Parts: sequence; C-alpha cells; structure tokens
Amino acid sequence: MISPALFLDWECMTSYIIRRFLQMIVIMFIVSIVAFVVIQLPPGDFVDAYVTTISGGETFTQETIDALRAQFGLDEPFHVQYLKWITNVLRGNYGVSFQHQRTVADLLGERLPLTLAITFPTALLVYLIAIPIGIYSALNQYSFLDYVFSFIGFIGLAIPNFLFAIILLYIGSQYFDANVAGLFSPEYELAPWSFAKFLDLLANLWIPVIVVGTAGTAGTIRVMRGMMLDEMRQPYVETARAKGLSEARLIFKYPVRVAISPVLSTIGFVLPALISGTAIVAIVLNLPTTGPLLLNALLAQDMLLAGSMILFLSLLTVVGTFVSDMLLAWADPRIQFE
Amino acid sequence: MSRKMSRRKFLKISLSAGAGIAALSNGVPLAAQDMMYSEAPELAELVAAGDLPPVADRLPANPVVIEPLDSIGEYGGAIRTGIFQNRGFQARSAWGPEPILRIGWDSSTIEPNIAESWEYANGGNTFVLHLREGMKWSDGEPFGSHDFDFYWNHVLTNSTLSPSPRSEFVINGELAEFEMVDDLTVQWTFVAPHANLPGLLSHWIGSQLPRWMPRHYLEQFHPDFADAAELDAKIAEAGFSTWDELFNNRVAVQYGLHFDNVDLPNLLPFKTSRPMELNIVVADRNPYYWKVDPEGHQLPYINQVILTNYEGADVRDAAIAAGEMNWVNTDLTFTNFPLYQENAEAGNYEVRLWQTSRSAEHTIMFNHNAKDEGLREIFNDVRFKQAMSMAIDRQTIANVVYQGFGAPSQVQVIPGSKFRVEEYVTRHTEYDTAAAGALLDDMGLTAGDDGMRTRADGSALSIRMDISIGQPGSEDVGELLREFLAEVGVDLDVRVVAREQIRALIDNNDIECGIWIADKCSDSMFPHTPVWHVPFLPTDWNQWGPQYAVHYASGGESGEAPMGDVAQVQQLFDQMKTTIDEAERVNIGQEIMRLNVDNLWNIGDVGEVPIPVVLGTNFRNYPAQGFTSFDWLGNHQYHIEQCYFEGGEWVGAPS
Repeated sequence: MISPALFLDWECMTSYIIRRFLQMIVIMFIVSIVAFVVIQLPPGDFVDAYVTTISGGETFTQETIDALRAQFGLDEPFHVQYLKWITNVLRGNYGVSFQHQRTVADLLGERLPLTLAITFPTALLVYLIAIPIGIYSALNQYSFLDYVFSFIGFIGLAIPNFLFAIILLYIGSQYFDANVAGLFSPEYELAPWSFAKFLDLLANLWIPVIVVGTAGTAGTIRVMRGMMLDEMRQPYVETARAKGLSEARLIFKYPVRVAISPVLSTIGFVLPALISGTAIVAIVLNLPTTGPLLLNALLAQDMLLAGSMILFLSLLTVVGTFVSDMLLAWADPRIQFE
Repeated sequence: MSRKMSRRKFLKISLSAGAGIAALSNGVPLAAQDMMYSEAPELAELVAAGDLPPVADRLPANPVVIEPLDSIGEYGGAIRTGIFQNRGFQARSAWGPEPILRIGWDSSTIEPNIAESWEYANGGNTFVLHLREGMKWSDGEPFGSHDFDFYWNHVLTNSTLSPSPRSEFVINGELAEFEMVDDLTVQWTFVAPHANLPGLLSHWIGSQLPRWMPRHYLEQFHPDFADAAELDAKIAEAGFSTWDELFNNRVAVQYGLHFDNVDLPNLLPFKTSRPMELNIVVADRNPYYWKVDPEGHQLPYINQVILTNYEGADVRDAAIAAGEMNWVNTDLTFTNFPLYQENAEAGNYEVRLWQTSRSAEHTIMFNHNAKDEGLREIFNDVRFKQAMSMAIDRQTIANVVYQGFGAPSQVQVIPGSKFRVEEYVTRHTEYDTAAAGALLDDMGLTAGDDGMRTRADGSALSIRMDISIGQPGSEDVGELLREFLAEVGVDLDVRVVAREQIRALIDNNDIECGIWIADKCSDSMFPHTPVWHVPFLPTDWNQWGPQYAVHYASGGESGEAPMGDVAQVQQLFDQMKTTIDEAERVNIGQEIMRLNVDNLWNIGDVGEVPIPVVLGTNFRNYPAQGFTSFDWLGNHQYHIEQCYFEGGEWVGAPS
C-alpha cells in the first residue's frame, strides 16, 4: 500500500531526488580528490614499494628507478596525475594496476562475484534474524529467551571478527574436517563448476557467513530491542490498544515502523561494507574477495587500483545513503521532503 | 642409499673446491645425439592422436642432459605450493626459472642453459652467446637469435617501453652494441670487458629477458610490426588506452611465470594452463621443454604446478600445517620451524633445514659519513668497531632469537664460497667486554660513575639505531644489542620505523647506526652486487657509507669522496667488473673481504641460521641440505625438472 504522504508529495519528491542527485555528483567529485590525496599521503610511492619489497631482493640503480617512475607516470606533478586518472574514470577506464599489470576492471570483475556471494546473503541473514529477534526481545523483556539472545548478542559484539574466524577455523578443521582456508576443498578447487562443487562451496561458506554476520546481527538486535522498548511506552500505543486494534496489527503498523528507522538509516553503510568491510576476516579465512585486494593495493601504493576501489566504495556509500533516505521517507510518515 | 650419500659427499667436496659438477661447463653437453627419446604418457597420447609432433621433433638437436641428483624419476604428480599477498620470491624455482645461463649444483659455478655456450672475443670487449639448434618455445615455434634481436631493437631500445636502457648492458656509461651474427649467435660489444655479464645472465635479469623475446607472439602488440587499426582494436578490446599498457600486460610475469596470460610462450618446464583466478594458478608440463635425463626421458617428470596465493602469511602457515602443500620454501621463517615440524607427519611432508645467502643474519653498520662530526670521528676509528663487535654476546643472540642455531660471523660470504677466508669470518667475534672496554678507554671515551661513556666534548655517547619494521628477528636482535652495548657504556637508542622512513634517512644521510639482513653474500651475487662490502649503490640498504655510494654512483659529482681503504675497495670492485680471469677474480674478491674485516665497516651477528624447507615425503631428487635465496632465484640450481614423486603422485594429494 502506498503511503498517502508519498502519493501527495510526488512533485516535491521529484525535485528532492534531483537535488540529491546533484549533491551526489559534487560529493563524488570531492571524494575523488580526497581519495587520491589520501593514497599519496604515506611516504614514497609504488616504485618505492616495488623496489623495497615487492621485487623480492633485486637491486635497482637510480636510472632504473627513474625509468620505472616514468613508466607508471609517477614522475608527473600530482594534479596532472589526478586529471589523467579522473578523465579516464569518467570515460569508464579505471586504468591499469601497477602491481598486476591488469586493468582494474578486470581485477574487480574477478573478485566481485564471490565477494557479493558471501556478503549479500550475510546482510540478508542479518536482517532476517536480527529484526524479528529484536522485536521479540522487546515484547518479552526479561524473559528467558531475551536473556539468551542478549547474552549471545553481547558476545557477538565483543569478539573481534578475525578472532572469531580463527576460533571457528580451528573448530572446523579439528572436529568437522572443514577446509583450513578458502572456499573450496582441495579436490574441488580445480574442478569446473558442478552441483557437487556448489555443495562444497556451501559446506565451506558457513564460516565466513557466521563470522561476518555475527557482529552485525548482534548490533541490530540491540538497536531494534532498545527502540522497540522506547516506542512501546509511547501514549499512541496505548491509544491504539484502547481503540481495539489487534495486538499484532498494532505492533507492526506503529511501533515497528518507527523503531526500524535507525536500522534503515544505516543501510547506506551496509553497501560499502559488503565490498570492503570483511578485509581482515577475508585475510584470516583466505577468501579471494575485494577486501584483501584493496588492502594490498593500499600497502603497495598501487594508485589506480586503490583509487578506483575507494571511489567505487564512496559511490556505494552515497547511493546507499540515498536509498536509506528513500526507505526512511517511506517508512516514517513524520519525514517531509523539504 | 649409498648413491645418495656419495652424491651428497660429492656436492660437499665440490662446494669447498668451488668447482662443481660443471665439469661439463662452458658448453659441451653430454652427448645426446644417439639417444632414444621418450615422453610423459599424457604427451604420448597427444602424439598418437596427431595433436602433437613426436618427441624427437620437439626437442632441440642436442637437448640438455640433466643427470638426476639421486635416481631416474617417474612421470606424474603435482607440485602444490603457496605464496602470500602475491609475493613469491623463491616460489619461482617451482616452475623454473630458466635464465639465459644458470648456476650449477654447487650454488657457485656459472653454466650454460638456454645458451649452449658463451665466450669473450675482441680482447674481452665482445661477449658472444651461442644458442641451441632446434630449440623451441612452448608453443612449438623456433627460438633463436631473431628473438634476442626483437628484445634488443624493439623492447630495450624502445623509449616507450624502456625509458632508460637496462644498466646490465651499460659499461662506463655506454650502452652495448648488439649484433645478430647468425641464426644461433648473438653478441654484445662493450667499451670495456663486461666480466660480470655471465653472472648477471645467470641471475635475475637472465631469467627476465626471455619474456620479452617471443617475437612471433609479441609482434602483434607492437606498433613496429602490427597494423595500426588492428592494434587499436586490440587495445580497446582489452580495456587499455595505450599500446604499451597492452604490451606490458601481455608480457607480465610474476616471478618468471605468466600468471594471467596463457598465450605467452615460454622456455620453462611448465607453462600456465589455468590463469590466476580466485588465487589459484595452474601450470602444466611444457611439451617442448628442451631437457632430458640420461635415459632420454623428456623432462620435467612432474605433471603440473598448482600455486595458491594466500591473503596472509599466517593463513599460509596454517595451510602448510594442514598438509595442503608439498613444496614450500618461499619466505618461510625459522621461528615457525616448530609449527611445521609438529604437523609434518600428519601433513605428509618433511621439513629440511637449508641455508640462505646471509653471511650473518644482520649487518650492524655505523655511518662513516655521519653528519655529527663527533660520531663520525668515532665511527671511523677501527678500535670503536672492534670494541662494538666484541661487546656482542653472539651465543645469546643465537639462543634467544634463533633457538640455538647460528655461528658467530662477520659480514663476509657464506660457507662454500670461493671468496671465503675462515679467519676473516670469525675475527673479533669472541665475546670480551673487558677487551672492548679497554679499546674504548684507549680512544678516550671515558666512563662516568654510572658506567656510561662520554665523548671528547663531554656529551653522552648515545647512538641512534633505526630498525626497519617487519624484518623477522631484527627487533629482537636490536633489543639485545642495546643491552650488550650498555654493558660497555655505550647508549644505543633503538627505534623501529617503516622501511620508507629508513629510505629517507639514508637518502638524507641521517642514519647514525643501521641494521639490515646481511643477504646476497654468495658467489652468484657478490661479484656483481656486493651491497655490503662495497659502497656503490646509493639506492640499496648499505648504511655504513651512504655518501661514498653517492659519490661512486654519481661519478664523483656529489657525495663524499672516499679515501684510503674505502677508495681501494671501490677500485677493487671496478677491477672485478672488467676482470674475466677466474683466479684473478677470486683474488680480488678475497682482497675485498680482507679490507672489510680490517675495517669492520659491517659488524655481523650470527651466520648459518637455517631456513625451513617443506617438501612432500615422497618428493625425490632434492638435496637434503641446500641453499635457497634470491641469490639463486629461489633454488633453481637444483633443477626442479628432475624432481619427481615416488609412485607418480604425492602421497598427501587430495583424492
């Protein structure tokens, strides 16, 4: 059912969307400069990183180092490097990774599907589990199950993800014969896609999904529970009850709709977290996702790869914030497009 | 078993004699003309089906005959190895590498490889390479002089691909002149003899050149040959914007192996069959590989290499312990030895302890060009460095940091090197704080009531030591050094900073005392890259004479002019560059060693600390004790192509 507010303010909303869209362009422009500057902040550049670490012991003369800088365009002034990069990005060309000598698009294309395969179900799972539990805990405050969920929730919040990953990894490999690292068992690693390989993937997927999802679930439960407790004490709940609304209809039509606001407003941050938030877990679990790719790009000062990824993440944040604003407007009748 | 022992003994003898199995050196291969060749069953099937020419047609006229270390092998199995964060410095010897020339079994002698032989002509100024007749790329196309010509005239001298010519081919500031003499002969003429060129061609650059050479494949990406419209279409299709981006992508290799481009032909025992995807790359046997065993079996024995890139070092260690790999000697650290050992049996692997190219784990370098005049005077006094060396309790370093392994050593060269003089290695390494104190007293660095010494001007003798972050063992050793030096009244102010920070400190000559891993001390690197023994390369990590190095590299235009022994050691290095005669080279090298120990420019801690090497339990023909390091591009001197799995597959292979 379309909210009456949305229906009435259709014109307002169109202009609001256009305004937001223009804002987003300006923000992205600023972000692109900031990203480029931040990546260059640490001392040295990719050639330094290459010469000192990545090459693995080879010695370089000053001439060779200068030649490398020229090859990568790192000898040019900062603003020239930036302009070159940003004009190419606008044309859809994200450049070539210094480390890999492959296009950034190619590198991201390799890792994005698996990244989304892990994080998207995780995010869904977080909401599917956390929101009902949060509501249940609030409605049955201080019940046995409320204590159980609170206990698990606090543990989930308190344990760092990477530590949790190591513990599950240990338990998995010691007691369940799970693969130590990676998403496939050795016998399926090289096999072409098949139903058996898909099952093997599912069998190995539970550790990252649990690890990545726990903290988010725990946090969302606490937020949902707290908000619901506040809302249930509001006079309008009493009023609705007095008017004879059934309890289920009452709860879902009024307090839940308000209590879910903080959850919806943080969806904007979920999108980039899907892509990069799991870097440390991915390293511990050896998952070939985009998180480690970004981390290594930053460590190696692989400018174009790191810059493009950060730009991409920023875009997701901006778009995500926009989406959550729209969701909020839909869910919360108090919000006006002004 | 007896064969194994005698072989090992032979290795040892050849190591100490510095001669090596390279009795067949300088170009005469074992006679292979009358051999009957055979091949792996998988390849025989392809031949039978008509998909591949017969083995005799694929091999060169005179294939290289490799005598296996212990026994003739059997075909089959897969090497499973792992690197982390795409860094696999030593993993390259799992699939080769095949430099133009190579290092022999003794880890010292230079032998023919891709080139059948080499010689100097024209009074030493011309260096001639003879190639092998009928040798082929992994796609079956002939390999020869035309490939060198492509590299020289279209890659190295192309200003877009190579903004400056490779220093390996520059002598006295002049780039060599290249000439393609005939189909199988190429030569370079320099303005003076380039005596280190065989060493360089058997090392890193020698293993890099072949990737730029397959002209039959690369011409389509090069504007000198390709149709402009077709090339533009290729560039656009691949998502690049310039031709050199596409070209560099097509020739990109990681540690010698093309991880991404399966179409790039190579000369290695293995060629990529599955490009790097989700951290795994697979390389299969190269059907045109140009080496055989004494019975005529085409090598390699092993079918394929499966390489996994791990996202971190720890997770790779966990995978090793879980028995997922059968060949790892990449960046394994000695401190993890117990972890590997504990899980060896269950993981179907064994751990061997090999040696590296480190003459000492660390070189401790006092900056002889220090900006602080007082410190500079102290550091240039040999008594001070002798005192510092004797103040170090090396046994404690070995016990605390290296689990009891390690022998007191100055920064000289590793055991087995032809430049090694035992007396130099151990000079001033005895722990003697009384003698050290006496030397410091002699210098007038008197101790106060608190036991700490003061400089001539009355200020406290305090020296800042900068340690690069992330070097295994360095921080522990630095902490011990601080305690040892305090014992004799010298205050060492230890800081741990980022590598880039050290770089800046060296470049600005702000180092007071530096510490670094003392690697590259082997016969395969010292003669052309003596980074510790001679200050010549200001871009490297030598911190005892950074301004001398600047002076050398700039031809005297900047930096500080050395005098006395420092000037002499630079002159000796110049002589090494132009001296071809082997006996004379040894004399020069040993003279460099003597000047080093006389001046103690570097102070070593402990040498001979081993490195763990993980190998499958039924992996055969690899030495029980060996050397592995960047100096041998991993350990290519042990010929991965003649290794095999007894029974045709690793016992721990996943079923």
